[in-house]
Amino acid sequence: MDNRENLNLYLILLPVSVLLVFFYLNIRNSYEKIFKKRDLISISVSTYGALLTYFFNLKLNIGVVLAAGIIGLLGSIIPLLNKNSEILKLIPPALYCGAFAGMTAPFVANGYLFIFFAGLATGILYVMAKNILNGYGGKLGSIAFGGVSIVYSILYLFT
Amino acid sequence: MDIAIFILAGFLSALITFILNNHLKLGAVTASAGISVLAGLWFHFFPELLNPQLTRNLPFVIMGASFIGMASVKVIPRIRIIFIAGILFSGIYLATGSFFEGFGGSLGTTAAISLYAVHALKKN
Repeated sequence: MDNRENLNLYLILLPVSVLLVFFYLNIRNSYEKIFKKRDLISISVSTYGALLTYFFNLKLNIGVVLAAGIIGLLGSIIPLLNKNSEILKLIPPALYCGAFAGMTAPFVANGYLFIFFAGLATGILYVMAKNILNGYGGKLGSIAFGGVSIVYSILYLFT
Repeated sequence: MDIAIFILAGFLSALITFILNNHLKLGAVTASAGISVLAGLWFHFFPELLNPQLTRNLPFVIMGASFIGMASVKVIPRIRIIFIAGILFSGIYLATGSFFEGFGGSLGTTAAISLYAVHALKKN
């Protein structure tokens, strides 16, 4: 009786596991199609930019304008390290975009976790908006505002 | 007087960033971040030079207006659009400055609104 129950369990679990593996394989394929390597770099850099700006502002007490400016200026030097690298050219705008999200005041952010998710959301929006409004001023800032607003709204609704 | 200084700072910042970005080919991020760092450093080391309202808000106006200057000359060929958008930015900032206070990206959004509003007025 015990063995029969175990067999039934395996018979259910096996197809479920196989289907799950196929599901994740499909997800992985579509994920690779949507987010390529360069997009993942942009998202990571944006998150990093947000965290660094928030840290500079909070710990060094230099103000958000100076903090974001320093991060942007440092980011703009990075492509000079290797002028032929296409990857390094992605860093300055993504880092500066993330820095805008990191300009969020501590009374709104309440900590690094908020800034991490705001930077992440900003990076994802930045990648999604990479083909629109290029060359228009204010694009990066409005993307950052979108990232911060999304995270703030989610927290507001669920906490 | 303060309002005049804000407006002057807005259009000068947008204009200088645009020139550094497009005419001196420094790139949008370098131009805007450079202007922001200069403004930030100035008010960090000389906080007593101007009155408290200017010291508190002028770096934000300068940085926000510099985002307008990040526009490419291929998209915004006429410099007067940048000039007017810079003035409009200062006006919007003065009118709505505290509305999204503390939210990252609010300056960029104001800059985008200013530029798109002025850009929409241009004759093709």
